[in-house]
Amino acid sequence: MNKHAVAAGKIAGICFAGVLLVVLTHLVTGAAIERRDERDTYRILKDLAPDKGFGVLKPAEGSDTVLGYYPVWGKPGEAESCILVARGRGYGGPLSLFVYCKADGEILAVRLLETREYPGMGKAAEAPAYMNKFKGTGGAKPVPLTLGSLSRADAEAVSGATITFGGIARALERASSFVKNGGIRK
Amino acid sequence: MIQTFSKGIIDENPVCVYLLGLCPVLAVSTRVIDAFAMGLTLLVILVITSTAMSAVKDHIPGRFRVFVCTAVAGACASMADLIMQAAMPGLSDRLGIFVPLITVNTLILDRALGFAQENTPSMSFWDALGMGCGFFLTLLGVALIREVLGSGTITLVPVGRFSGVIRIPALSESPVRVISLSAGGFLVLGYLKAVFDLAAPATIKKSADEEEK
Repeated sequence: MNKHAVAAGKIAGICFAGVLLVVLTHLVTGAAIERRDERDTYRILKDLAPDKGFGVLKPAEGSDTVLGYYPVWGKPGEAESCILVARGRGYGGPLSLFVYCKADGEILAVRLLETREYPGMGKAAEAPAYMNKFKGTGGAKPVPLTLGSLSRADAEAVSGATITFGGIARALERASSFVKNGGIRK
Repeated sequence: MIQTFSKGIIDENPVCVYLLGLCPVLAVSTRVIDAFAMGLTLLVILVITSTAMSAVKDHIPGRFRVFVCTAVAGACASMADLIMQAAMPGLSDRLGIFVPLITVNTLILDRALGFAQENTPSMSFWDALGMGCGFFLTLLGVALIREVLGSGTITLVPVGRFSGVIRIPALSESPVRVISLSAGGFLVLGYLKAVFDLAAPATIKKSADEEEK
C-alpha cells in the first residue's frame, strides 16, 4: 500500500510539473498571441476597406457560414457596409474568409487567410488576385458557383483546384445572402 | 556514444527502416519550411521525453510508465504549440493538429518506453538525438522531393527582399500534382524505403530474414 502511495505521489508530481510548465508558457505567450491576433485582424480590415472606420466584431445569428461581422463606417450618406468573417471548406480543410460586402450583398473585396490547401493546387487561392473573379458579384450579378459561369481565363486558372474554388464560392454566396437577407441588421 | 547517435540516421532510420512516426511524414511534407519546423519540434520533444523517462524509470512502476511518458510528451507538445502560435502564427496554422499529436507519436513512445527504459539518461539522450536527427533529415528529404516535383517550388524563410519561395523553371508551370497529394506522399516514402532496404547493412538484412523465418 505504502509502495503504491509513493509511486502515485511521484506520478502526480510529474503530471503537476508538466501542467505547471504549460500554464507558465501560456501566461508568457497568451498575451502575445492575443495582441498579434488583434493586430492581424486590424491589418486585414484596413487592407479590405482603407480610409474606413470599423465597429467591434458582432456575432452572426442564423448562419453556419458567417461567424460574425464588423460594421464599416464610411462618409455620411454612403451606403451601409460590413466585413463578414466567414468559413468554407476546401480540399485540404477549413477556409477562413474576410468578405467586404455592401448592404445589397455586393462583394467589394475578399481576403482568404492562410489555408492547408495543397501547393500547386488550391494553395493558389491565397493570392490576392484570385479573388478578383468574385468582386462585384453577389448583388445584381450572382456569385459564380461553377466553372461554367467564369470567363475562360478564370476557369483555366482554377482548373485542377475546383474543390477549393467551389468551397470559396459557396461561402461567398452564403455570406452575400446573409447580408441581403438583413443578417447585419437583426 | 557516437555509434548510439549515428545509428538513427542511416542504419536504424526511424522512418525508412522502422516506419515509425509516419503520420507527420505524410501530412506535413508538402512544403520544406513546414517539414523543417515539424522535424525540429519532434526532435526536441523526443530528446526531452526520452532523457526524462530514462531518468525517472527507477521511480515509476513499469505499468504506469506509459502514462508518465504521455504526460511528459504532452506537456512538451503543448508548450511547443503555444510558443509556435506566439512566434510563428502562419507556420502554427499550417502544422495545425500535428504539433499536439506529437504526444502520441510512435517514435517518441518507442524510444522513451523502449530504449530509455534499459539505458542510462546519457545514452538515452544520444539515442534520442540520433533518432530525432534521422527523422528530421528524412522528413526534410521527403518534403524537398514532394515540393520540387509537386509544385515546382522550394519554400524557405522569407528574409528581406527574398520572398522565401524559390521557383524552379518548367516544373513550377507544370508540376506533377499527384506528388503533393497523400498518394504522392506514400509513393515518395515507398521509394525511399526501397532505397534504404537496398542499402541496408548485411546484419540488418540477416536479422530481418531470420525474423521472417
